[in-house]
Amino acid sequence: MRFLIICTSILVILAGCSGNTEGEFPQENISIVIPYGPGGGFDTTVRVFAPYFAAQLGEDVNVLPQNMPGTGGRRGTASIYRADPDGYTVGILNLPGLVLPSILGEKVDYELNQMSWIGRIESQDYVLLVQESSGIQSIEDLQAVDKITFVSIGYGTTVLAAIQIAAEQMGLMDKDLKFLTGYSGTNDQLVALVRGDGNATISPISTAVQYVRSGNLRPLAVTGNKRNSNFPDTPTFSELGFPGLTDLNVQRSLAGPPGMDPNVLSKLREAFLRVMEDPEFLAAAALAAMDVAPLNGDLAAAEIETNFSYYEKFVTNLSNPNQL
Amino acid sequence: MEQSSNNRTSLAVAILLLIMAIAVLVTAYDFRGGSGIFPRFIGWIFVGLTFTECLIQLKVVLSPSASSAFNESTLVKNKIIKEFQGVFWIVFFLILLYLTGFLIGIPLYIFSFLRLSAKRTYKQSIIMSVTATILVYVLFIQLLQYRLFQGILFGA
Amino acid sequence: MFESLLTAFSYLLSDGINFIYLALGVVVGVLFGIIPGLGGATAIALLLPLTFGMAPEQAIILMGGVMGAVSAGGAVTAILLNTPGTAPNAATCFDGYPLTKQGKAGLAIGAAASASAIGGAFGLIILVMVLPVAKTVVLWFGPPAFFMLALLGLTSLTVSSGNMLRGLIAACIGLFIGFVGYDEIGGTERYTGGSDYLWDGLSIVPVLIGLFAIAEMLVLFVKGGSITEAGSQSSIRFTDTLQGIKATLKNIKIVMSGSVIGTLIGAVPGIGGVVASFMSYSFASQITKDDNNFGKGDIRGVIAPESANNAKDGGGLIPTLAFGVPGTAEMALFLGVLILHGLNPGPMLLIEREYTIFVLILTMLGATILSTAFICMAAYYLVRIAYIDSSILIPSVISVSLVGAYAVHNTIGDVFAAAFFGLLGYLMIRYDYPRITLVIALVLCSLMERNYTQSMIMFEGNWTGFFSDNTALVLFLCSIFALCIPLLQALIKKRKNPGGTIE
Repeated sequence: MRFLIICTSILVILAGCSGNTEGEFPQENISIVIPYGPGGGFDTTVRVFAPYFAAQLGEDVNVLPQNMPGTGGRRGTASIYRADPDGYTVGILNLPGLVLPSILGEKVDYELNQMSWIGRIESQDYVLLVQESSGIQSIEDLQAVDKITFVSIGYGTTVLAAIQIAAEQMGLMDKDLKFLTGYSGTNDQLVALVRGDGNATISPISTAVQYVRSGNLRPLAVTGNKRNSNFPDTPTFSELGFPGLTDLNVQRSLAGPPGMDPNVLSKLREAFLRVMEDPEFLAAAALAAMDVAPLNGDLAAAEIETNFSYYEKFVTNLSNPNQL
Repeated sequence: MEQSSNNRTSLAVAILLLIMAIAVLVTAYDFRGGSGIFPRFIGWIFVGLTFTECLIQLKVVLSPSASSAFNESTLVKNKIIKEFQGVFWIVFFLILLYLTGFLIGIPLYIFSFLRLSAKRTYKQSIIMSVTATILVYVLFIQLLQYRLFQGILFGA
Repeated sequence: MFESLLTAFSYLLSDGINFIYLALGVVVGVLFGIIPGLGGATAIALLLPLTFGMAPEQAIILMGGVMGAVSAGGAVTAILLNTPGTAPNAATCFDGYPLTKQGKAGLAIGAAASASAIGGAFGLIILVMVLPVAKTVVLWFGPPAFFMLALLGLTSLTVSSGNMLRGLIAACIGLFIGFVGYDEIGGTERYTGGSDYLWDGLSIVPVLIGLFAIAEMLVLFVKGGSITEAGSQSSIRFTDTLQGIKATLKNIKIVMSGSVIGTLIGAVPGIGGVVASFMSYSFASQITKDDNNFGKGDIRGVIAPESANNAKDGGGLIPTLAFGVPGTAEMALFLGVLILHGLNPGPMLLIEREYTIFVLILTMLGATILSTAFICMAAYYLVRIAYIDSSILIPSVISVSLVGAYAVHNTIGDVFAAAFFGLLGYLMIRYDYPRITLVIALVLCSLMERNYTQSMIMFEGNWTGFFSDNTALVLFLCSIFALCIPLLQALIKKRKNPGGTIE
């Protein structure tokens, strides 16, 4: 009797460990690797996107988000890069977040250009903020202030890079300028501004909306080509004469490891584009305050070069401001 | 837990800690930028504290009443043997896990432990190791949909 | 505000499925609490997909059920196996495990569960009272204040841990372990030796699993036998659990103080439940003058941290709801759930969605009570674990602990780290260095350093700036006071006993 139990158990275990079967893609569940921890912007985006993606890929297929945080997003990205290119592992990538380390002179374990790009989901613009109570109404007012302290998250992030580039473009470098970095998230950074640890900051729009609506912070300008629907009265940087800041944004795109089978990749790309047009997905995304701005796989990949050349221009501004 | 450490070992531990403190302090001087400020500050405190501890232990060892050197020496020796065995089993398990992953490492480890260290019968050892593995499998892999480490021999 | 409360209450009772969601959340929460390495955050992440079809309030009920139940579950393993089920349960090990060794596991579990329920309830009441002024309070805490708060945590805990010198040394070790990793502000890798795993630093859960679970299994291996020696099977009675509940009620003051500490500390983002429960433990130890057996099986040493533990979830809601700044890791995930359902947290949430908040609060209240009942009933069976022979227990606990360590981040490195800290923990037990200060220092390290450096940037290198910040100044004085307490206690003793000698 016991012997039977043991044998059955061994068989059960072996059955569970068995690999995938042959047949049309997709046959089994697909994982989307999220190179950040749960609860953040990338995490939310994937979790909203995943079920609609699964619906487009077939009856029995699940799309499972998998968090792999670490090394500022590089660990998860490296794992996507090294994964088996069978199409069952893809991931969500951060531009320019993944471009910055190379520009800042650090070694990375992935090659963005070689990856198999599926498409861009979101593109978030940035907004320049000051405290409502400060009386600063425009960039000119900001330029007139003597002591400017920008609050920001840590060195190596896209937010700090955006702030440094903006500070240079707005001609603030000659002032008594401080970069108070090290806050642990964009929310902390915004609370810090409300509290008065600093007097200005730049943040992704979706995080900032609440603080503007509650009357704590005032937006001065937004990046991007058009005004943002959340702040219809706030001009774009290019309207105010700073066209160099238009391209500041953070993009969330889906990509797989290099060397994927072209049939598999095109299946994923087609499913992706269908999701981007699905009104239910768009409704869910709007509910979650996502900034859906779809691009197909090739165009999404082209953004790598755009990002690279943009940030390279400013590489002298991007050194660590607090390296004593 | 009863304090079986005698005064000489306490002194040895204190000296070891002092050496470690100096080592981390010196390394902290190599950090560029602001990274070293706080570690250096704490490093000096660390060195100071361990140094004080060394002095205290030294005083106890050198004082005339510290003659309780090696009482119950066989018991102490058996204990040290047991300690090394305990460490050995953990290291053994780690190696198994690294090479073969959880689903194979766990039953092998439990089986070996029960058979060799606890001297249980083959039947008992096999049953318990398989049961434990099944529990882990059902809980983590099926129920929670986790992917457990597969061991580098199997391509993790 | 009162109408929102009533609306929320009637909503909960309106649909039977709400109770099912609550129960599901509680069961999952207790289970995830018990298994070391899994925790509230993991549970929420796993249940997330289930919530897609639900109304926002129902998703909140499910999540609230989990959050309210997790730390009660974690107390069980802390007591029976000296393995904190979740990081904040670590303080429960200090007296819970000795109680198990004395054959009083049922008592401990009953006390822990009821302290969790009552402490959690108090915490939620405090939350409701504080919520209107939440924003103001959150804004009091800038980098200088955070630094002083971390300092206060460190000093008060070192004072209560016995041998102060060794406590401080252990704290230094903890701080240096905390330095390991990439430093964001300065941009350097510290003490990593180029390792990828260490780039992010060491995470607290594998460290705790090693220091407490694996270390104790080593102790047990060397000692032999089973965890509980005293008494036989027949001495496990259901009434033990009831005795535990009675003990909690008798010590209601400790429950209240633990609850207040838990709520306040839980409200400070970045500090987390570990500090809350440790500080509650330390505070209770210091205010207990008569037969203080803390560390050797004093039931109050179980009641204090467990009430803080659950209260911290209520506290964690304060910055989460006021500003969208998560107070704890579970809150970060909970925010994700809120966002997914269109409830964007931030200054507007409290104003626009008061009723939803009350649904959450009531759910968490229900969850703490439900999980307590569940655990008390299961206690009778759970306690038997402590009687299992060590030869079976040791490999099983070590296996599950290491799986749990792996499960935290899906990294094999965490498993090695847990094993390493297991050895370190054993050595610390052997040579009498307190683990509690090491853990606290490790948890507080990044908070201290980050805020210290930020403050220095703010004050441009002039550290007297710390004293110009009111909140920071107050906290600094509290630290000084905490350091002086043993001195004062000694002086008072001398007064009472003028002829006697003091050590």
